[in-house]
Amino acid sequence: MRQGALLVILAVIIIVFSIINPNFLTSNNLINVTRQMSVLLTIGIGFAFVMLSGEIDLSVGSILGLSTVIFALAMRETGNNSIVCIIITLIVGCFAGLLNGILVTKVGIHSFLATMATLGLYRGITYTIIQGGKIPVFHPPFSKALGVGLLGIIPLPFIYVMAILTIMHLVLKKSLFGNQVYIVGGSERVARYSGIKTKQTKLVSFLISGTLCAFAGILIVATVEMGIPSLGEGKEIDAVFVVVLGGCRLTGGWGTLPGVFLGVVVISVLINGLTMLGANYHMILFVKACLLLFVIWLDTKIRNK
Amino acid sequence: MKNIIIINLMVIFKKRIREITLLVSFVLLAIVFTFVTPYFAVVNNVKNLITQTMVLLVVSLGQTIMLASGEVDMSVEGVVVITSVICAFTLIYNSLLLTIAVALLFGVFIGIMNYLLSIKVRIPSFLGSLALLVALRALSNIITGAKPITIKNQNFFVSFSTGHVFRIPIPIFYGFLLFIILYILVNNTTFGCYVFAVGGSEEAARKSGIKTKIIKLKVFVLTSVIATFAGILLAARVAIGTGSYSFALNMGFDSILAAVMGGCVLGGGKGSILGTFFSVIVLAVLNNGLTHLHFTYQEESIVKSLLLIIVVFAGNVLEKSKGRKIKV
Repeated sequence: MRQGALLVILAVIIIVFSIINPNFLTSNNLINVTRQMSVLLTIGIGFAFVMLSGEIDLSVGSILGLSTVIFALAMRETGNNSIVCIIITLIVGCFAGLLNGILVTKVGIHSFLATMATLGLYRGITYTIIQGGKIPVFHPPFSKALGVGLLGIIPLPFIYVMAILTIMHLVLKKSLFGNQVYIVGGSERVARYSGIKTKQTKLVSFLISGTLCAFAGILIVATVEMGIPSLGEGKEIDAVFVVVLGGCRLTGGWGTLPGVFLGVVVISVLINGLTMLGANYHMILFVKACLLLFVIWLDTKIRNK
Repeated sequence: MKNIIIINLMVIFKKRIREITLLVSFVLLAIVFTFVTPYFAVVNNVKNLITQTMVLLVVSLGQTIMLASGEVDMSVEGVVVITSVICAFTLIYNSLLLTIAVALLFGVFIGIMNYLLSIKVRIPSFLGSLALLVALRALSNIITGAKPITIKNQNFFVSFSTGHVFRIPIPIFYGFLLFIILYILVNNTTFGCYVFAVGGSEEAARKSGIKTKIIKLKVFVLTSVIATFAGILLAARVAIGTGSYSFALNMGFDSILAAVMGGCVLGGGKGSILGTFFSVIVLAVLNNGLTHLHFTYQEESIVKSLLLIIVVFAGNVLEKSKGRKIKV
């Protein structure tokens, strides 16, 4: 039902934009959209895990920014040894997620407050270690493999992200951990009484989110060939948007990753179409925020029936 | 007799432990900064510091009531920003009354919006107001064309920024006036009592006959209107209306930080206007001192984030060790 509605919306958006702007349905533009989609999708998957377990992670954009700078610095220091740098960056992202998780589960701060603090913390660290400016990352094989390369007409990053999506979907649906995530999000008390280590489950969700954000950062660096400290600002709104649009319940315990995928497709196409129509950054932000509220409103309406 | 005095003092000390801690940290910070940097303990600097911090104080006082009622309002930042833009546009007509009326009406409108989103639509208030914040900032940028608009009305400046009442700079006068009004409202009226009751347990409040939704509506509108007033003060001080992202940056976060430092918790039911007042002053001193020590904005944001984590952590530990915390 939910996904059917999303598909209809998507079809309508595509038809409208392709009528208004003939450049919309060209293969070049579609490749672009798919490439931009992969970053948002990576963040969205991690965010979905956190939200399914009943918490929220506002620091996704800051972890992304931090990881682009860490990656760029590591590339400079190691002389473009990309494998090592990717591992370092993923570990940093993992630790960032771990800190979020510890603050929420062990220290006992509400996840909204805790991740809002780490949002400022990570962004501050990012700017402080780079001291302003940008760090160029010029390493063509790496850029090709993770950013601009194509397999046929499909961008390579999109393929990786789809692989991650499939794996994570299987984890959620088939593994014990996935089951526990749903139960913990549904009702933490029930989960605790049935012997699930609820804190551990939440911690792992935050860890997954942090690591995936770091991966998204690497994907961005591969495309723009730079480490920029401001990257990912405001991404938390996008993440909430796609996850809610994809049918996840705000309080946790409900939602699927294919739904999130559809949400990502809808918002990416929408942003791309609006940009091609000449809407500026602020207008798109405004539309996004209003649409987010509208979607949540619609969601509660439908659920109450 | 002597014993009674000591016991009384201890009770007061226990009850006001948070305020006393804040006061002590304020004194310590002030002493440290006086010795570390020559620019801190200068009359002009102190005067500027207090004047500039009034905007944050006003917003945080509103946020305190909001947190006490069990909700969060992230959109205060957006309200402050768009109020500056509204002031810039309406002051073209040279009517102070019109400007204030339009701005405050807009505040009421945003408050009702917040209420509808979080109580009627049942979006968690932090998320609904976050989306509203993004929308308001974007809207201010759209209507100004992302350019700052200069305010030229002298009357406006005199009434909200450069004027004096009883030889006190007018923003300080307003800030303290609002502080006193809200202090009385929260501590000495039934409304204040209801706010804490609703925040503590909405279910219990409803069953004891309090109209919880009406209380929440009032709190949302009150916070928004207070934020509008902060926006007017800020617009008068900087003399521009703008939606720029560096304008009133992180005001929502700072106000929550101040309220939480002052004793609020995110679940509601706790909070103290006096505590918020002290923590705003501590934050202002910290901010000012760090700036004189050549900390960049980003480094300050690291300090503030860590501060928030430590304060909440310390609050949790305190609560656990006491078993039951004394409500302030």
